[in-house]
Amino acid sequence: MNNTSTVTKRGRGRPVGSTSFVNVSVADLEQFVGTSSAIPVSRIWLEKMGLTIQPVQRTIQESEVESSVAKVEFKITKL
Amino acid sequence: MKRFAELVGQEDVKKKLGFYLDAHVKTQKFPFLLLTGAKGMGKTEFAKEAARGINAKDGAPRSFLEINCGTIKNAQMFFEQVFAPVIQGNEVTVLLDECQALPKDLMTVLLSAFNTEKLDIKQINWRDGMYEFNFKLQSFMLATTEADKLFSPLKDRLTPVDFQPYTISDVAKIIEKSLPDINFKGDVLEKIAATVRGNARSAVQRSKQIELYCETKASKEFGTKEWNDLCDKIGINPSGLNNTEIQILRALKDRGDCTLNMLSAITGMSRSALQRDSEIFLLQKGYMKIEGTRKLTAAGTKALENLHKKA
Repeated sequence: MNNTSTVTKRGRGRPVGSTSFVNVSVADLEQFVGTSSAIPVSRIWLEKMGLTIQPVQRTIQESEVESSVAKVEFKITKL
Repeated sequence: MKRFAELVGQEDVKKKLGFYLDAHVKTQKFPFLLLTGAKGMGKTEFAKEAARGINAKDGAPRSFLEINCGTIKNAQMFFEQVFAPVIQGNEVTVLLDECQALPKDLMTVLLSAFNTEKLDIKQINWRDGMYEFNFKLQSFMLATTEADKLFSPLKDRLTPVDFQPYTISDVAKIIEKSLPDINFKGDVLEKIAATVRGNARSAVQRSKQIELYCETKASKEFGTKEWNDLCDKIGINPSGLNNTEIQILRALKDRGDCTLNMLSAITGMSRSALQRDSEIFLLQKGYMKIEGTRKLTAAGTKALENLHKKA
């Protein structure tokens, strides 16, 4: 096998420069959405802009695992 | 008091158990018994009664521990839940009921434990623990309806005690004994006994039905008229035939000889269920015979006629 090959194999992780977010001007956005539309933005970006956000309430519900320990049926009689 | 005086029938079993109990009084030895027989033959009752004859050091009978082997999933469960807390170090008579359902690993343990080689104490190492069987303190009886399913080497270590179906007269005695306040008239007891198929447990159930009938009628007299009335009310058939058995007899009468597959199609029951639950009784009673196909006998035809008369 040629280990010096420059062909990138598929499925080996995120390619450099491939990010989840891109920069779009508000003016450009306005062409597609109205001013009252809700736009999803990053919480980190909001924090950077100095806006406070409501922390997400996490409630962990423990599922009640039924005690299913098998019991041997027996009966003791005093004769 | 005479041993087993309270129990009806099973004379051979009484003799055999009586012998081992007498031997225990003299030698403190009691064999590992295997009680075999169909359901309702009295295995548990006889085991309990035998346990009354096995005394502890203080002279009182030992405790009787009855274990349903169908609920033991592995040897670990047995040692942790039963052996360590209840058996080890205690004076107790143990009945392992439905022992054909014992898990394989526990059968292997018992195989080793019951291989006593004249020793009264057998120590068994299991996983991280060491458990001690002391046969001076503990006696073991095993009971099963399916002895053929028991691990053969284990079966070889056990002393068999076979139970037989009860006779009509034994069953009549059981019913009469269960209902001491009822006055049975004429030959009604024999008629009742003929419907419980030689099964002591069914005889006790029948007694409860009669007791309920008498309480409802506020009467302590029970004759043929009352019996016929009760049969009519709760659907008791002559000879104790159940509805599937009647269906089989009717099919053989109406269609002639049938294969097992045909009977399975007619009754809607599986072949194995038919063979196990219905055909055995019909063959025992001589109502049906198997000669390649299933055939109705003269006795079977008569049984059907009796049914029609009842109807």
